[in-house]
Amino acid sequence: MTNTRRTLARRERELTLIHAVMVCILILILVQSLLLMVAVEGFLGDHRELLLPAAAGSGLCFAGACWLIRYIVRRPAGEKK
Amino acid sequence: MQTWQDDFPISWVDDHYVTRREFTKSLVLVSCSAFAANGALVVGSALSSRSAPATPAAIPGALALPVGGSKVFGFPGPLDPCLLVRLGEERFVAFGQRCTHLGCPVIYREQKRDLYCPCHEGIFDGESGRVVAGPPPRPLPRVKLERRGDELWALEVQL
Repeated sequence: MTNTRRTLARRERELTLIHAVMVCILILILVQSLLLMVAVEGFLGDHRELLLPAAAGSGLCFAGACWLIRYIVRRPAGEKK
Repeated sequence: MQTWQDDFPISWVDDHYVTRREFTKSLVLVSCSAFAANGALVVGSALSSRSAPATPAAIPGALALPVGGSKVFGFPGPLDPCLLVRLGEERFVAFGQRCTHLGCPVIYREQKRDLYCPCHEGIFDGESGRVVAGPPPRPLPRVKLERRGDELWALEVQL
């Protein structure tokens, strides 16, 4: 395999990884939005028992997003403009 | 020939280009803010539950209300409007006046015996405060009442 092909293949892999991480984080944000809606409804309707589980779920989603982002942060930037 | 681009060599497009990497990092910030908002709700709930309970207060002119009439009063404070309705000689009900949809003041309709929100046509049952029609998501908070001699007292708001 020539150097050019190796570079292209590596770049393709990196882009696939970035896209996968992006989609996963977007899904986590969507789940967090739903949990925030539940929490607001619980706060306004005095269903206080919903607040802590919603916050815990949101925290888990945020932790998941932080865990996913490390795949991008650790890798050197190879994207071209 | 010198063009104006030679005098201004900065590429606006390149300067404002957002890479996918940077965009994904910004998504984590969005996730952080959603988590912070959830946390703020938990803290707000904890703080509000520690505040002093509502002090019972007499409703002025309650017993002079005619049957089928309604009256606005402030409870627990002057900025918390409530609506007192006299359903019968000895039957009084009171609810928070703010519609649970977007906070417009509701009015009592004697003919239909319901509480009506004119903003988006929400309708609440006049006896229980539950939602009958329209966009409101929750029933009106009920004010617990007690007759003490010649006065009607508001004791607490029940959500």
